[in-house]
Amino acid sequence: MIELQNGPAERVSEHGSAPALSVRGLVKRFGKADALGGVDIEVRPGQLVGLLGPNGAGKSTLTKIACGLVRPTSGKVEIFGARAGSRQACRAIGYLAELFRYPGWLTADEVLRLHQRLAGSRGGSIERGRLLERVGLNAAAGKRVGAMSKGMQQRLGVAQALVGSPRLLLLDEPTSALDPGGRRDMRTLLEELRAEGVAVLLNSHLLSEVELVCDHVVIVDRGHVVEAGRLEELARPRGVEVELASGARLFEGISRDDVPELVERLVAEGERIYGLRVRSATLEEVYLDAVAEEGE
Amino acid sequence: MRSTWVVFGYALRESLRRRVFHAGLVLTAVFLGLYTLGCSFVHVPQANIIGEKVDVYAAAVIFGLAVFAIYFFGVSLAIFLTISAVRGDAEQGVLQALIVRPLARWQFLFGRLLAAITVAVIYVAITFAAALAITDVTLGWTPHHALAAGLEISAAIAVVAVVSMLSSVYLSGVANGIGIFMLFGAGLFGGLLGQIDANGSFPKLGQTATVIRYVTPFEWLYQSSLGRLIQGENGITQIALGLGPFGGSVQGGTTVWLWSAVYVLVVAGATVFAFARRDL
Repeated sequence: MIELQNGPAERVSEHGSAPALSVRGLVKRFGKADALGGVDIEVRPGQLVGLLGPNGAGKSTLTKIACGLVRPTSGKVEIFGARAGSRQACRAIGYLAELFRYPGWLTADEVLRLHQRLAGSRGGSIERGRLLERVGLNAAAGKRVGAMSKGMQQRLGVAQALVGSPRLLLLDEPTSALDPGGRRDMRTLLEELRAEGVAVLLNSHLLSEVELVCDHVVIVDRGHVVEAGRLEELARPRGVEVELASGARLFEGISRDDVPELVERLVAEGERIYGLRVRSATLEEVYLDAVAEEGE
Repeated sequence: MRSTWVVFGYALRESLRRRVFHAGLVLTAVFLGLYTLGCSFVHVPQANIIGEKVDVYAAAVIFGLAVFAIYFFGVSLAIFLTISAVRGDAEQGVLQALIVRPLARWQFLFGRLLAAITVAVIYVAITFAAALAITDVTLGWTPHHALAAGLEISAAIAVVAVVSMLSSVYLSGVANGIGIFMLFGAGLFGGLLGQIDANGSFPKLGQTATVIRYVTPFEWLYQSSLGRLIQGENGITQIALGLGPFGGSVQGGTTVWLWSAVYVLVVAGATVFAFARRDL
């Protein structure tokens, strides 16, 4: 099993010891096609986990099984100790699907009210106002969904997912329709949620977004977890880049500890050093390596 | 049950806001206007012909045609309100956000079905009552068992909604609509076969019609509704009305109600079972 270690915000331990999401030996077959072939993941409260992978890797299937929308072929999926799809589990989650649509005739406020009633939330208009403000839609409470831009609808989708103060948030491509400003707002919101102890599973193709906001990453390819861990653990050393008079030169296989010796040697050889940077793999490089290895 | 009522309220509002519902209301108003006009043009001789009540015959035939139209409108409305209830809405991304809330899937289905039946049945009841009033005012005739006939037509619409809900689990909106209309057509076809065998000359056709009645109890209820219209009439009028427009009439009695109840329970159970296993 790939168990993700505690993130910095996990000091908020009000949710007990049960993991927010526990996936063990998860298999899902659609006919003869294996969508997931034995996935193990554990997400703890306060962790912000990025779920990455190419199209058809099984990310959305995994998210949907966690929500109870798709039935697993075998394996165990639990939300705070409750079986995924059970009422207890549903009470703990907030979900935003990749493809979603709200009836065009409902206003933003009515969408949230409907979900409050279904979620059994007693937050009333105060909660609705707070959520709309949180996603930057406080001025659009009375606006009909049909008159909203895609970006506004996506913000409303995030607000809907937050109805009832879920302890686990499952977001499937939540920034696909947002402009750069909207993405920054989303990052801020996710960081706030993490600070509040909410666990977030962020399914995204945007590696830069994941790199900026997530503290853990799970890379899935062809139904298997091919890489998982904290970002800094995954970012393997790539060497030291030295800026010389002749241009930048990468010394591979050298770590931070080797820098003094390297500098001494270069100076002894008569080189002039203008800059030096210890390089580690970017998330994109980690991702491409992981997916390429799996494909070989 | 609270969640069921939340879904019911949501689905009810959605049903009433659908364009197809508004278009249906306009078409119904046009139909009732034309029906009034048609009734007022019918020449009803007051003299009896060979002892039969010709005025009753004319009024009952034209009202029978109206009942078929109302049946067709009601079936269409029930189909349009339910065709996309599961797979169609799931494909559009409407369903998922609702289903992940802490409510059982059967509660969602029940709420939606109840809303569709409520809208379709109220629509049919009002249209039926309007046609009945128009017939009475313009032609001076009201069937003896109008209430029973209206109830059976309404029940027929509810059965169609239940069947459409089941197939919505498997079929997308358009395919489901086509499928249910084909089933509706099969029911009418069975009625026509039964009509051919009205005097028992073609027993094979009669047997086929009986089987189709059991497979499509909504058609059976419709035929029974027509049968209610001629209860209390006799002689040539009863025979002529018994042939009925578009499918003939039968005296369904309690059998049609009992079978319809069993049918609805089985179909509803199958729907709940299928939806519970459906990946969204």
